[in-house]
Amino acid sequence: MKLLKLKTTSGFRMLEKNFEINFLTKTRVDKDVENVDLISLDSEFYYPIETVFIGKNSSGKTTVLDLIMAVFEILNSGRLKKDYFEYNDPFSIDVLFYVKPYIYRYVASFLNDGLADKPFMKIVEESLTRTTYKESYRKDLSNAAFFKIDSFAPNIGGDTSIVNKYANDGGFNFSADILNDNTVYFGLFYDFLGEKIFLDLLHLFDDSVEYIKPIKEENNSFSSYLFKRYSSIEPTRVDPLTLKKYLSAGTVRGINLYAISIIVFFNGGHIIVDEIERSFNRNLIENLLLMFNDKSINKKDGSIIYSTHYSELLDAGSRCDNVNVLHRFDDIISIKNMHTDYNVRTDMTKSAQFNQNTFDTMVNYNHLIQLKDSLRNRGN
Amino acid sequence: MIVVVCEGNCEVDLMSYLLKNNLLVFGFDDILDHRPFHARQPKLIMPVLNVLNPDEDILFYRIGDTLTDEFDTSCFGEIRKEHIQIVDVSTTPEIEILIILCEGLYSEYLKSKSVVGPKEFVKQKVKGYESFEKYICSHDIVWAIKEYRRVKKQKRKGTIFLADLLK
Repeated sequence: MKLLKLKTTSGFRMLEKNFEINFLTKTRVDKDVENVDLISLDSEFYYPIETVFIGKNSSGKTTVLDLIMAVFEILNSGRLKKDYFEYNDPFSIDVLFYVKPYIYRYVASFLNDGLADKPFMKIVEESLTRTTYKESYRKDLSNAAFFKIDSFAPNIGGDTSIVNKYANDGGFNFSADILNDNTVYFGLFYDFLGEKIFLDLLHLFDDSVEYIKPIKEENNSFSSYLFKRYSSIEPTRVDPLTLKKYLSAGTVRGINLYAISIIVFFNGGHIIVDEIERSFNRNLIENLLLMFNDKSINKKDGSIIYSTHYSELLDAGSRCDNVNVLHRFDDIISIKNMHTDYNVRTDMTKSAQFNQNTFDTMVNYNHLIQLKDSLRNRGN
Repeated sequence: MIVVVCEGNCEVDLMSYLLKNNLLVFGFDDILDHRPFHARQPKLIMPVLNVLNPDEDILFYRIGDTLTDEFDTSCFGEIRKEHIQIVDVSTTPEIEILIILCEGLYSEYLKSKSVVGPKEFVKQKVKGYESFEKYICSHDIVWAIKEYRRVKKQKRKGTIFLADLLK
């Protein structure tokens, strides 16, 4: 499944009403060259492997990623946790997603009814229609005619939709930020990736550790690990909390991020990462992105959706239609696409333009100087 | 936006004094980072300059005595380069010439200028001289700046006098 377009007609937190993200390519694709940064969904129908959100602090990057994750939650499970919303908060979406050979349109509204015993949003309305992909849709999906799916039964008033039966094709859609600096998933990663890949990953981030082996309980959970450094003779048995203390925050976050990326390489889907540069040096991120663009590794066309302050990461890719710039004015967050909404200079790197504030992503000059003046005048 | 770039510490002291006392045609609020920069610190200018809109016009006042080297704006980026104007403000032969004028020693200095430069001349002739910064606070430096323009008469092409920036 690939999320093609996402519009929230109600808005979401500070996102403006009808806030829309278009994930599709917007520029011409040269078929004569190998487009390592694109996924070919269908004939002349391309999808960027990377989708990037940039913007100054508090411009709405996290909010947008939360919105995308909320939509994935519905498409993955048919349900939406109330955690994202305030009481009585309406949430309406108009989503296009692709599961070969169909483009689906899911239009739905949800409400937080405030009932403490019900953790999921109430479905106020929902509809699912679909169309078969045609080449004429590749540039403008708004012209597509969608048709009712007889087998789709809306669950108005309930909290569980069956949209996931159509959207869930085995792909893994997950936010890396849920893992944070937690080691509790290491056992699952070890199980899923296999010992060889898990240890390769461990050694990439900390080559002083010989191994971490989860100990499986009778109920298949992992409550402890065997941890061994090369320098020690015997392994130590540790619980996840203690294991976290044995590893650096960067190592834990790195293993988590790389592990779920590998799951996406194996299964397809999307991962979402807020501030991808957090706790890493640039090289590790550049290499992760390179793996996503390597079809011999990313065999199931996984995609990565991330926000960053590292403008240099944008230079690795040749495209700019997958880069979205967020701005917040008067508590309203809006989105601009680097290709369609800016005159991007092709003779300069994206980072050079970014660093010269072409996209208005720097801090506010007046606020910066006001702070510096206050510091200079303190105690005078 | 105006950026004040000074060749040496004395120039920084002088510009700070003139700005503090509101003696120039522009004030602290008009200049980048509300302070004059040292010319040897372009890396300190860049992070603040890059916060501005890329198409904002930037006027650099470069204050110093030699100013023969071309001011390299390439580090400020291709887009901004097109919006940068540089004006050289000459204090040749050395900024201490202002002290010599203040002390009424200009004629005497002219007689010995081939042997001793202004800085050394001030050290030899001005009793109780401690530092440029202290001196300008207790003397009529504005008069000296204007007097410098009067006696200097000729200036290098493309440069202005400090007096041209006075109110």
